[in-house]
Amino acid sequence: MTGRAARRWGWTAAALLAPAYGLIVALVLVPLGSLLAYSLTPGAVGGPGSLGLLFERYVRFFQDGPSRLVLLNSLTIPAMATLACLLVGWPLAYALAKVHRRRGNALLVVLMAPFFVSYLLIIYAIMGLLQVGGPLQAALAALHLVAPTHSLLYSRAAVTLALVYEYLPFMVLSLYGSLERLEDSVLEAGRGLGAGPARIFAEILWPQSVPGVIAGCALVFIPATGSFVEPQILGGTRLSMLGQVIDAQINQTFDLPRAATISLILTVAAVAGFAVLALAFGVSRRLARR
Amino acid sequence: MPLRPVTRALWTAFTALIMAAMFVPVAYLVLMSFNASPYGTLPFNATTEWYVRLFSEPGLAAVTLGTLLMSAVVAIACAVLGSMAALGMARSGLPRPLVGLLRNVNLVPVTVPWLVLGVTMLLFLLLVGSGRSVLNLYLGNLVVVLPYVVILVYARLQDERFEEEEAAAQLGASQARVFVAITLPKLAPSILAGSIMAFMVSFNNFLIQYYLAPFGTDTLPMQIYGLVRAGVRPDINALSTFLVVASIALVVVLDRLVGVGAGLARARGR
Repeated sequence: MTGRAARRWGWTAAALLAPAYGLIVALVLVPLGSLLAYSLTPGAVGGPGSLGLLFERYVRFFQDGPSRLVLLNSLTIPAMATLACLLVGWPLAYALAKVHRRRGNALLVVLMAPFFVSYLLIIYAIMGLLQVGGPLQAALAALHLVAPTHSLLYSRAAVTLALVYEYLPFMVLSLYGSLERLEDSVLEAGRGLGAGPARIFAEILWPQSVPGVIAGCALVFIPATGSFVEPQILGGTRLSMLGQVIDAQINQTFDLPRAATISLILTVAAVAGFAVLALAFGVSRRLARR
Repeated sequence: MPLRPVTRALWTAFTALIMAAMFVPVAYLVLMSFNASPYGTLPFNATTEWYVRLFSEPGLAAVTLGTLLMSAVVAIACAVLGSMAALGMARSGLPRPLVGLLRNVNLVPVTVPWLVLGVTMLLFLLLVGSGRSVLNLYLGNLVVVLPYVVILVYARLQDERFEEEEAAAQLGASQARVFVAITLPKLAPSILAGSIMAFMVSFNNFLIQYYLAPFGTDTLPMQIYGLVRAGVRPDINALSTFLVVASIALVVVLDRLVGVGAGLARARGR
């Protein structure tokens, strides 16, 4: 390619990329960067009990017991939901990719269908199912597993269940992608060499699926940390997540710098939590390959 | 791979069980929309009262139309801008590390939680003196769904070998002609699949709409949220029955047309 041609392609690339990436930079990257500046602005932080620190809002957040608890909820509930998605999603992805391969794609679309229905409606349906007298609660009560007047709502389990319903298709999609590409001949070679199902899982299937597992965790855990409607509707007053606290700063107390502070804390916590999950699964792969 | 019939039957049962479980909430909504109980509880007594009530709900039709319009505009803009970006990444001889960087940047809007994204956009727009507005609502929804088209079209450009393009160019066809006659038709299924995703996600993206919609302008998800907060309301069941049927029909039709499932699986697996 001559110099002139290269320059021409450079301009074409710029023209093609500019609108989309301009939007992403202007509405996502720059605003994310400005969160830090926002959270450090002096202002309402002064007043009684002010510590006079640059990172005052962060210090105050972590000094506050209830805030720390809400942060913990925002990590543990999505982590539970992610593990539940993995536990159900892995065998399902395996079944779709390896057992029902001819219908795999069609079944994948069927699985995706509820995801296309507004997730607000899924949350709303779960509220109806779990309430006292709701079909699921009534069934469990009939089996004497819960008291007839015991609501299943307003619990960690209710919020986790809603998250599993919302995000399971994403976990299955990522796992399906990585399992589908595994050649059958590899599995047959393993069997031919006398490996049992447990060994085939541990030494072939699981390591092969780890990239999909990690991608799945990114698609489930990170968005789930930003849950707002789920804890608001299904969590009750005792169980809060950071999304609700951020929303309260915007819509009730109008403390925008505090909203920016907590948003940044949430983002960092979400990425750190995902890194821990990814690292753990990465290590499991290395151990399996040994 | 030969599986023993028993093993196979067990896998089939497991798959059927999970699939059925995934549809329980949706089935429950549809069932309860025809049930006389106003609390969404059994026993079942058939009625169509909630549909009558739904249609007498003031303003719901206008809000639904407004949200459909927004999602359509966003999906079309997304198809154009997203395909341009994918072509720019795959076809303009950019150095590989730069393409890698662009692909990662493209993933930021889908990985940051939407709540944080909505709040962050609102805070930034307030900072620059703009804030909630219809334009920002459209742009905010657009930026969140751009990645879907970029990912799918880029994947297609990587998968396909476009030898015909070179042949046509050597035979003297102009760049524009090659693009319209050869490249675009090959990309069409991916562009369509990506725009449908964009449409569906925009239509349902409560958190972005909640923070960017101007006061006094409701979208359908915002209206549903308002109703759901008030507790179990059977006319929501009737509304959701419509949405469920429409969404599932759209997904099935599109899968027949373009293979959304296969496209998605490919894009996700990468």
